[in-house]
Parts: sequence; structure tokens; C-alpha cells
Amino acid sequence: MIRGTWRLVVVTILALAPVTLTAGAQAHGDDETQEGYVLVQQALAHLAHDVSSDGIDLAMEKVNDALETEDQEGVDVAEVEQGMHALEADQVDQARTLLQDSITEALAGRPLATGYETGTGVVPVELPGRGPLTGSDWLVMVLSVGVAGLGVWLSVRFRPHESVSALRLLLGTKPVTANRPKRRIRIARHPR
Amino acid sequence: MTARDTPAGRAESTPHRSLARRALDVVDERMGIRALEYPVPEHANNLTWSLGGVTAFAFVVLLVTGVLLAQFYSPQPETANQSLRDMVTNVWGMRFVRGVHYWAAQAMYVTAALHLIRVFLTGSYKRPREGNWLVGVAMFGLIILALFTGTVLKWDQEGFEALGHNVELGDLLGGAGLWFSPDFASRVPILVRLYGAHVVMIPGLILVLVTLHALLVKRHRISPHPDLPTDTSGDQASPDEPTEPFTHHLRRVTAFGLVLTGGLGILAVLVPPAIGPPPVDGLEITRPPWNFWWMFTLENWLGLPGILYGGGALFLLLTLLPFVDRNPQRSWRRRPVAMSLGLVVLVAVVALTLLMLAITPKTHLGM
Repeated sequence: MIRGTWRLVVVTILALAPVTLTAGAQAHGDDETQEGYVLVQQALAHLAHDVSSDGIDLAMEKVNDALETEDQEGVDVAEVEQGMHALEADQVDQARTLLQDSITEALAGRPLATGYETGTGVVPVELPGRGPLTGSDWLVMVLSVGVAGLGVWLSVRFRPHESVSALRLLLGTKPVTANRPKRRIRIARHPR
Repeated sequence: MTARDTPAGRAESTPHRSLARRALDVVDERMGIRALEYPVPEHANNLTWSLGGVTAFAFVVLLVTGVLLAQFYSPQPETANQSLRDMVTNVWGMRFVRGVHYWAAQAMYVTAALHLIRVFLTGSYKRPREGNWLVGVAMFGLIILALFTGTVLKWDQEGFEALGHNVELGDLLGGAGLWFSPDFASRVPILVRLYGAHVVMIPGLILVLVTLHALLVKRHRISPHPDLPTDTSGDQASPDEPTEPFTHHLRRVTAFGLVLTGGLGILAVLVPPAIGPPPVDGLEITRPPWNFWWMFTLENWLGLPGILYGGGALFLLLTLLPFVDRNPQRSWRRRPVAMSLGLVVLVAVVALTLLMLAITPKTHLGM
């Protein structure tokens, strides 16, 4: 009876947990920025992640927003416009340089980042994991293969004397629970 | 205990022992390392029962490589991403070290998950090992936290968006999520606090819990194999089962660990992790690391609370498992309810993970 009650409590908690956990949920509203230099940075981020036509379209949207926003403090609008023209001409590298230069003044006067601020200034492209393999790479890889090989050899050398199936034969063919007392006896051995 | 059992006694009784053996005796007399030679049942030495040890080995690799990375990493938002770029391009060997760290983190997550599944399948969480199961579940949660904070430390767009989810989930949790809010210490970059969590709090807690885990394994002894006879209590391996010293178990775990380390080295050379562009606020254009994809799919369906529902439900189930499942059987064949439930959870996580490849991610941050 007590065990049944506990299970009921557990099931109730499970059912109510999502409701109680999110009781304080609030809508945050659309946080789209109006700061010109951040909009230019967002354009740069799109270009850094995706230089396909989709990425360029997204970047152009952001550049357009940067040109239309009222808060253009520290942004060289003329360079942003040149960046837009470069994007329209599919000259992504030139656009990236122009856009990055256009926010130099805005980035220069910023205090050190606190809380949730990014602190980002320049937005370079992704640094790939690796280039062509060097001599050091090959050396390290050969050593790694050697370490792995040593591990395989040792794990075989130190393998258990008996596998589980051999142990099963060794310990007889009794069912798994043959040695186990009946449930009634176990309860008697551990009185509540 | 006879005189023959003491280190000094052993040394006297075997005059032709090697120098190494005698040196070991000298150390043992002072440090008691032979206490590790307690017997463990033979079945504990196969790979599936050594996964916990392999996870611990991956943790050691992470500690060593993490200490090296900490020498060159700057946790300030202005310089964090660039310090990583400098480290892997200008400091000899650090691209490899970072690669090993990254892959060891993936390995630790996978081996911990496999260890947890093995313990579930063999019923090793049952009486009297319920407490140790909870310690293991807590460590699994810490491993996920370490993966998460490590992702943020890269301070690229992926890491920043992960942090954005973290912050908004903290808001959803109200007071319970205060630590994850930038308002908790508004003059300190949240990156610095997460760095502290990643290099001190989380590994420190894991170390404490690993110690407790190992002590409880020693106290309760290795759980019986479900396909082999047990002792009369049903909680321990049969006394007829051959045993080996625990040091032999450690020896085999080390061998598996060397295989793992070699594999990590190969991956670190061939597939080192890239470093994304530094983060820009107000965008949501990346996908999280694969370990979080199943929660990401839930988020696409249910919004940000989906992550809480999914993660909370999984860990609640794991926590309650040994207290709800009172079936004394350990063989999976005789536990249809637990096995069905486990299969449903596993299929759900795998399916949600795979679905991530098919769905178009929606924007959630700041909405």
C-alpha cells in the first residue's frame, strides 16, 4: 500500500514537473538590434559562415538594415554602401574588408565586455581544422598507431583467463537464480 | 594476518625477488598500494565491464590536455577566440593537443553512455548499489555540462548560441537558473564564469564523485554477471567464480586506455576540430554539437522549454530507475518492463537525433 502511494506521488511529480519548471516562462519579444555596427557585424558573420548565394543574400539584408537604421554611431556609412555594391557584384572578400573597416570607429571606443556581451571586434572566417599533413603530423600519427597497437597487444595479453561462456560451463549449468533464496525468505532476512 | 602477509614478511620469505618487486614492497610498506589487490570476479575483466575504467582513462587524458590548453587560452571575450587561433597556429603541438582534448571529450561521453547502458542491461544498479547508480548518473550529467561549457569556451558562433540557450533556459527556470544568468555577476563576463566551471568546478566534482564511485564499487563489490550463478544473497558473484586482483583489472583497463589514446591521436591528426568565427549577437545560424541534437529537435517542436522537458525527463527517469524497478532479476530476458522502457528511451533519443538532420532549424533565441 505504501509502495503504491509512493509510485502515485512519483507519477504525479513526473506529470507536473514540466508545468512547474516553466511556470516562470516569459516571452522576451523580438530583440532585433537597431545598432548600426552590430548589424554590420551580423552581415560579416553571415559572410563568415556561408558564402553561397543564400549567405550573401542574408548579409545584404543586414547591410541594408545597417544603412536604414537611425543608430549609425561610429559607422562609416559610405564604406557600408561600398560594401553593399561589392556584395551585389559578388566580390565577397572586398565586401568583407569594406564592412570590417566601416565599423573601426564604433569598435575602438567600446569598454571591455561584461555579462553576456560578445566582445567581438574583427569577424574572421572559420579556421579549418587542418591543412595538408606535415612531417610532424605523420610522426604523431605513427606514434599514435604504435600506442594503439601496444594497447591492443596488451589487452589481448591481459585478457581474462575465462570468457563468460567458459565461466558458465565452469560454474555448472544451473539456472542463474538457482542459488538465490526465494523472495519470501529474503524478506524474512531483512525485516522492515 | 601472519608475518608472511606483511610486505616485510613477503620480502624475507622470497629472497630472490626482483629489484622492481623489492622497490614495490618498499613503497607498499609506506603507501599501502597492495590494498588495491583485492579480488574481483573474473567476468569484470571483459571490455563491457571495463567501460567505466575506460571512461576514467578518457577523463585523465582530458585533465592532462586541459592543463596544457589552459596555458595558452584566454577566457576574456575579446581575446578568447583569437587565443585559440594563435594556440593552434603558432604554438608547436597545440593543434594536436586541442584535437586530442576534443576527441577525448567525445570519447568520454560515448563510453560513459555505454557504461550506463551496460549497468542498466545487467541490472547492476539494483540493491545494494542504488546509491552508486545515482553517483554515476550525477557524473553523466557533469560530463554533459563539461561538454556544454567546453563548447562555449571556443567563443565562436556555435558556442555563443549554446550559451544563449543556456541563459534563456536559466530565465525559464526562474530563481533556480540564476547562476546561468549574466545578471548573477553582471560585471564579470559570463564566459569567465563558465571557464571557472569548466576547469575547476566540473572536473573537481567529477573527481570527488569518481572517488566515491570507486569506493562504493569496492564496498559493494563488482555486481554479479546476470548469466552466471550468484551467491546465496543474489547480490554478489558466486564464491565459486574465479577471481583476479583488482590490479589486473586496472592493467587491462590501461591496455584499453592505450587503444583509446592511440585512436584519439589518429583522430586529432586527421580530423582536428575547426575554430568558427567569433560570435556576433542577435543571430541563430548554427547547430549545436551532435550530443545535443535530440534536445534541439524537441526545441524545434516545443520551443525552448522542450530542452527542459527532454533533459529533465531523461534524468528523472535515470534517477528514479533503481527505486521504481524492484524486480530482483538481473538478466535482461527476465525484465520485460524495464527493457521495454529502456528501449523506448533509447529509440526516442536516437530518432530525435537523426531527425535533426532532416528538419529546418527555427529561431528561438530572443523570441
